[in-house]
Order: sequence, then structure tokens, then C-alpha cells
Amino acid sequence: MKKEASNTPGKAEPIDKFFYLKETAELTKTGSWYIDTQKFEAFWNNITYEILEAPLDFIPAVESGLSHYAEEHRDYAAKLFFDCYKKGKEFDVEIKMVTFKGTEFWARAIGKPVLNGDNEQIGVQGVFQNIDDVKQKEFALQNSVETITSQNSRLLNFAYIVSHNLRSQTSNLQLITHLLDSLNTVEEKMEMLSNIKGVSDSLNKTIEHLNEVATIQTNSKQEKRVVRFEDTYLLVVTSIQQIIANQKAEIITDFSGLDSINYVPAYMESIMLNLLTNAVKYKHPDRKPEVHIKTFTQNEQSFMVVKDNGMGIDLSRYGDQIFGMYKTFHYNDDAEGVGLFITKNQIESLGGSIAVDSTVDEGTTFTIIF
Amino acid sequence: MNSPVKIGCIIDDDNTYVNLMSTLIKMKKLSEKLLVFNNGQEAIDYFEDTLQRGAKDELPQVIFLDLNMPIMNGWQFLEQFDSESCSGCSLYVVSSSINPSDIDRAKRYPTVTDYITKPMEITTLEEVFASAS
Repeated sequence: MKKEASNTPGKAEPIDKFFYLKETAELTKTGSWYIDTQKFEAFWNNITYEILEAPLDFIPAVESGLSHYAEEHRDYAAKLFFDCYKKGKEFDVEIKMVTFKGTEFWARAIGKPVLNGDNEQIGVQGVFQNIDDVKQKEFALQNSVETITSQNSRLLNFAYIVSHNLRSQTSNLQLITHLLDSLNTVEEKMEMLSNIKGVSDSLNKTIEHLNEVATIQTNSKQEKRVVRFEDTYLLVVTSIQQIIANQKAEIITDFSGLDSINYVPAYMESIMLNLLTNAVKYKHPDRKPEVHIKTFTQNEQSFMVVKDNGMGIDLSRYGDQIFGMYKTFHYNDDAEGVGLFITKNQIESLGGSIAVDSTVDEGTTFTIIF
Repeated sequence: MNSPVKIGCIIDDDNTYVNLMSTLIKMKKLSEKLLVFNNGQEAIDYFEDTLQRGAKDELPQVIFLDLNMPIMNGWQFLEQFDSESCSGCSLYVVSSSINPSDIDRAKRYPTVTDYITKPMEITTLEEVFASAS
């Protein structure tokens, strides 16, 4: 064996390798372990005890080794150890572990086979480091990237819609001014004025819609309150009483499965208003509209289902567009193509989702998960 | 200037725009007749019916197609459009969208002559009709 050369001036003293190892391990919070696969025994160093919050009198055992890994990663850990032990395969992975006190944390774990002089495997050894801080930051970062990406694409989309809708109005105005220059008779010029009125009305409407959409972003920061479905429903029904009476619509409610949730009250009103209005507005020509609205919980999630017997919509044809802005599918003059777009955005801004199922001539069902 | 185009066609759901274009086309005497459809489906129905009757002289020589329309939008129209309805005619996609992906997508259709961004300039309109007649 090579003799350690001392490079310390003055009194020659061998470098205490153990000191450095210990300090480095402390500094980096790195625990180490060893499994003697012949005697079937496990050993830990003291930092392993520290990281795993193990009582000092705990005696590590091979059999209980997997219990130090988070439940969902135990199969993974077992495979890593098995491959290392049986096939001599080294590993260097990020894996979720759990302390004696039940705290889960992310660790970087390295394992290598231990060989004797005859190249026979006699054990497995490794080190692991608590990297939970870094890992949590990584998750947070990943999360923000996803949020930003989706917001960005929404914004870009929104910008195109805005530009499209404003451009169609301004281009009409431009055409009108061109024509005003070229037209000769007063009657013709007067007709152009009526066109200006049309453009001005559409422009107004567009800006109203944009306002509505823009407030979704700011409103999602609004305070959530306990919202009772029944209260919101009564409020909404009062506001659309006229339409309901005109169409002789029947609305059947069942809020027994879930009578209230924590939500932004204004959103709940808007969501219910949009879905109920749609259900009545797009009624089947041959029958009175009948709408069922039901709330319940399932797998710890809160649901609201709005089901109608209306004209339905061909989803194979319009499925990807039904929640798009300014997408209209029927001949109704009052279809504006904004309601469902806003509904979807409101729901998603609070972390929920909305899905649609529909059969032409039978009806449409909207399912919301809050 | 050449003799006017016999039949022009506008497929667009914006009534103001259609009004203005019709006035303009009439005023500049660009086309003898103008067909107007408020969405793609109405136009497809007309083309199919006309082809079936073999009345090719009732088919337009210039078509202006909008993209955002109810019932059947411009894209769905392009998917279903039978190029036989438009042999020797020019089809222009006319939209307020300046989304580059819309422009690229429209130009990939062999039936599309060009993409025109609204507002349609009077000179552009005249050129389109002049090159079609």
C-alpha cells in the first residue's frame, strides 16, 4: 500500500481521512449504508440515523430496508436493490424516502456492489443525500413554467381574437369611408350612415366582451366564500325568469348531494347563468325545455351536472370549438359565442374543469368539476 | 378595363361587410351578379345543387370566403369544397385574422388562390376582378 505523504509543514501528522469524510457527510447531509449479503446484515452511519430521524437504539435490518422509502417508490427501490445485489448493477437515482416520523423527502441515492478479492459479490453499499429543498424548488419551477405556458398561449390566442374582432370592425369603417368618398347621391351616402351605426354597435359589443374576459384574470384573485347552490340558483332563475316563462321551461334541481362549496360567488352565478340560459335557448323545436341541475361529490371531488333535452350539438364536428370564443353553431340570432368561452375560463382559473357530452336531437350535458 | 366578371360570390356572416362589398362591387361594376351566403353550408348546398343540375354557367368566377362563420366555417368549407365547382375560378380567403398560422394553413389548400386580410382595399378588389375576367 502506498504510504500517505504528508504535506503539512512543521510537525508531520497523517491527514485524518475520517475527519474529512465525516465533515463532508455532515455538510452535504449524506448518509451511508452497507448491506452484507452473506451475513444478511445491514449497517448505517450516524448521519443516516439523523436523516431518517431514527432512534439511536434502532438496529437496521435488511428485511425492513424498503420501509424507509415512500410507499409509491417501494417497488422501484426493491428493483434497484435487487438488480444491484443479483446483477451487480450500480444505481444513481432520485427517489422519495420517508423518515421514522413519517416525513417524506426526496433523496439522491447511489448504490454499488461490494466485491471481495476473488471478485465475488459480498455486499451492497451506498450513500444517499437529502435533496428535498432542491427537488421542491424544481417542482415549483416546473409548476410555474406550466402555468405560464398555458397563460401565455391563452393570452396569444386572446390577442389574435381581439385583433380579429377589432379589425373586422375597423376594416368595415374603412370601407365605409372609401365608399362615402366615391358615392354621389345623398341617399347612397345616407345608407352608409346606417352602416356606421351597425359597426358602432358591434364595436361596443366586442369591447363589452373583452371587458368580461379581461376581468376573469383579475377576479380569480377574488375571495372565495361558501356558496350555497340553492341561493345562487334562485338568484339566476329570477334574472332569467322571462326566458324561462316564454319557453315554458322546467328546471329540476337536486343539490342534496352537495349543497355548498367554497367558490368565488360571482363566478358561480355566471357559470349557472350561462349554462341554464344555453339549455333553454337551444331548446329542441318539438318539445318544451327540461333542464336538470345536480350537484354531488365523488372521489373527494365536487361536481355540478347540467343536463338538457335540447337540440344538442354535433360534437364530432364542433367538439373542439364549443368552448372557443366567437364560435356559434346555430342560426339563433342572439348567439354570440362568448358564454361558454367565459364559463370555461372562469372554471379553469379556479383550477376546475368542464366537459360536454351531447347528442343531436336528444340534448346536451355539461359536467363541471370544481 | 376588361368586361366585368359574370358572377361573384361572397361567403361571410358579417352583414355590414357584405353590404359594403356589394355596394362597392355594384358601384365599380366589377361583377354582373353577386351571390351571397352567410355561412359555408349555404354555399356548399348551392354549389352541389348547381353541379348536379349541370348548370355550370351559374357558378361564380370569383369567391371571397370568410373564416369565422357559424354552422360551417371557412375551414370546413375548404375541406368539403369540390374543386369542380370552381374550375377556372379564383377563391380568396378574406379574413380579419392576421394569425400567421391561419394564413399558412389557408395557402396550403390548392383551391385557395390567395389570402387577403381585411379591410379589402378597393384597388385589391379591382385587381382581383380584373385578373379573373
